[in-house]
Amino acid sequence: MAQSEAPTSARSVHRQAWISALLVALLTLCVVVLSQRLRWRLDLTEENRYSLAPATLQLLDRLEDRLDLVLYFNQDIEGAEALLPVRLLIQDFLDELAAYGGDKVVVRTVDPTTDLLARQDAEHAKIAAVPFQELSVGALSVAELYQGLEMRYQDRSEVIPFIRPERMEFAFAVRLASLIEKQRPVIGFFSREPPAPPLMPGIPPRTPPDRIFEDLRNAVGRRFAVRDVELDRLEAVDQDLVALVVAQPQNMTAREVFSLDQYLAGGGHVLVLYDHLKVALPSWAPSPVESGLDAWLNGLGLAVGKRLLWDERGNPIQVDSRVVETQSGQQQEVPIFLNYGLFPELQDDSLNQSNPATAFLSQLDLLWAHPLQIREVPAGVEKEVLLQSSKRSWALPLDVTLSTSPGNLQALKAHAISLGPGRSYPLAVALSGSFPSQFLGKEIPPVTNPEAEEEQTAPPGSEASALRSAEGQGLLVLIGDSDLFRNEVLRQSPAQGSFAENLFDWLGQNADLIHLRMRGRKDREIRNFYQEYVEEEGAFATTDEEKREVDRGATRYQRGRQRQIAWLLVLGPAVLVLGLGLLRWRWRQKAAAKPYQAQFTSGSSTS
Amino acid sequence: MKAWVLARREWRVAFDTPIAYVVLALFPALTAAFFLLMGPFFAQRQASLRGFFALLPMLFILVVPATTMRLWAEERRSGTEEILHTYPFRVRDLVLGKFLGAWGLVFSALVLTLGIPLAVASLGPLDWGPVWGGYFGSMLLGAACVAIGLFCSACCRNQIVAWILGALVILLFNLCGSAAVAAAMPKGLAALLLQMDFGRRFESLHRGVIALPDVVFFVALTALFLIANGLVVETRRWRS
Repeated sequence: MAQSEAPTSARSVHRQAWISALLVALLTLCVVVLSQRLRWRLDLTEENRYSLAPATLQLLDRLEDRLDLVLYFNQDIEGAEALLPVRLLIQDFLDELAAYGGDKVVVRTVDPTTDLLARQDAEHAKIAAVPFQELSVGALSVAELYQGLEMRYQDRSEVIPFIRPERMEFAFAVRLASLIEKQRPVIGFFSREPPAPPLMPGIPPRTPPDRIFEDLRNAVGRRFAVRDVELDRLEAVDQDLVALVVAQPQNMTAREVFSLDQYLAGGGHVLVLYDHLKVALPSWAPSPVESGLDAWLNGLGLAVGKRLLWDERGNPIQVDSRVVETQSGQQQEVPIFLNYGLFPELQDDSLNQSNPATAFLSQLDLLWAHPLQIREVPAGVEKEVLLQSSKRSWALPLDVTLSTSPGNLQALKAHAISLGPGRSYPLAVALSGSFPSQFLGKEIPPVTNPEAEEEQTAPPGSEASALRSAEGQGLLVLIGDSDLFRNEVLRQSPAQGSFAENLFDWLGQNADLIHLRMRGRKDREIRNFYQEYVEEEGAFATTDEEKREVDRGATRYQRGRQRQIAWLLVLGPAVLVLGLGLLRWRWRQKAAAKPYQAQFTSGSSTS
Repeated sequence: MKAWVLARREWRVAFDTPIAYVVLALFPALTAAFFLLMGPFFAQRQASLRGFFALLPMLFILVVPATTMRLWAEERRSGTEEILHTYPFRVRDLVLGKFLGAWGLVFSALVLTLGIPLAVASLGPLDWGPVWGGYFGSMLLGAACVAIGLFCSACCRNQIVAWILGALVILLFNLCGSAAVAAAMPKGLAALLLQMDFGRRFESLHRGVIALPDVVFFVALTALFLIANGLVVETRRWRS
């Protein structure tokens, strides 16, 4: 009886164990699956680089429908592993979006290099491949790199043609905001240009030559609706404008300045493209311009210097040509280029790297720019320099000759150097915050435009009581140059177009998005042993042979230091552990030998 | 408390055999060699340890089962398991003690790799957040791997078989979220397997983001294999 019970009991224990194991496994699976809904997370990175900004989260919360994100990415980047960290950053960001958005955000990755349909979709979405040098074993070849994102929401779509990870969140948020908005946001445009001719059906529009910012309007018009506004009205500026551009202001009336002031004080976003000189193209004949804005800008702690900036890092410009004889005996005309300091060429160190409008511009050219003076800004307003000249810059008088003849360039340079040591000048500045009105306690300027006067229905004195001051978060961007966005310049320089797009993307956002900054920009480059060696040893190398020798020495030094570090870390802990093991083994040997030794010693003494 | 006593005993015993020294010497040496000598660290020239932490799941496949293979298999082979059951310990204490002992060994191996982040920090501005996240994740990953190895050791009489079985199971957890597996599986199952993938869970931690679902995953998996281990030992105890 007992014999038959034992196996039954063992079997039941066995069965019970199996059932328990299955139940525990099932429970674990449920816990793991359900835990996906938990959102608690701790971002330990220095810049919180894996946490979405509140502005992005607010936009995701506003999604009413599914947002499809199609990432055009070539999976195989063998030979270009250096791109891997960039790719991981992009994937991380999209993972965060998907995790926060839940069912509302769907991320799909396609590879246009292997998938023909994806390639067609990429072409349709205007996502082009970027060529990159691929280093395979013993060879260097050029391959295609796709790194674009298409965002589809309801019946609309937006595209980031090439994602830069550090700028990704801003680019994404701006486009998402544009997708979510029911109507295109409107940008107001104020200038003294003649009005656009009315559109006639079937006749292509002809731009009058005096509408020098027409291309800027068209560039901005891709993402915004652009409306020409008059400031000389009672309700001159609609508060529904996302931004107002004041391009090359000339003789602005007190009423116009008042409207501008009220728009900014009410939390509006304003871009002022300021010039003291109006230069006719192609004659380069300058004529002075009185803006009428100086007093108002002074009230905000800003002034545009009545000087022209001369930057040694000027744009190379053809000043002459000479005829040379080629090897085949033919005569060839070769252009001569000289740096034209009145066209400052702004490079990395001149562009604010933390502002979305200016970061990642490789270069920006200004034309006959004026240096800005930034004094004390009003309380509650913050300032940020967006553009500045190089440290070898000087402020020349306004009446200098603009000609590009070599003689004049020499004279301008000599004039500049005679002014003393050069320094960096601010060329564009952004003020943000609550702007107090400059008309507080002053008389409100009357409407001077007769047509607008007819529309005036407000009783006298009512305007003063409705004066806006420090309401909402305003933004003012002042650039000491308007020529950089002229038609001729925009057509020739893609960098200017990129700057215009970035600037308006930034200006057209709400306060949260405006403060969304670059992340992951901190340079984490390790020590460059090669460079260190070159700086120490190669400073005086002049001949090619000496330079080659320095190169060889630097390569040897770099390899040596890298191997030294690597082998120290490979062998160091291993030797330490094995040494400790050996010591312990010796100690145990001694401990084990002791009783026998004692026994042997006592035995021998007995015998 | 009893588990602690057993853990200390296991820890001491581990250092009486060459296995602990081999593991502790090999683990930091291999990570440093793969990361610095064979990896693109010096080519990329970025003060980042992502490449280092990316290696750990693969190295754990080889190293962790080596620390756990002996724990139950050796007791069974030498017949000391029955003697162990005569001690005033519950099976829970035995399993937990052995687990903590082996986990301590993994912890020691990880401590020995601290020279790598220190060296990288001396070369450039290292962000320590992802490093701490990576080590925290490594401890969680190590715990799950130790629990799996311990369970496999409990199922085998031979140490080598236990090592191979442990390595295979950990490898499966590393591969279950791969694109090849996902392509061969129905969509729902592929999504479930993706959630079980060690590499994916660990990657999130070593980039410096401690997400609760990842922590819950590793803790739950560790608990599952420890409970299963306890059931195996308990069943054998009843059988014997």
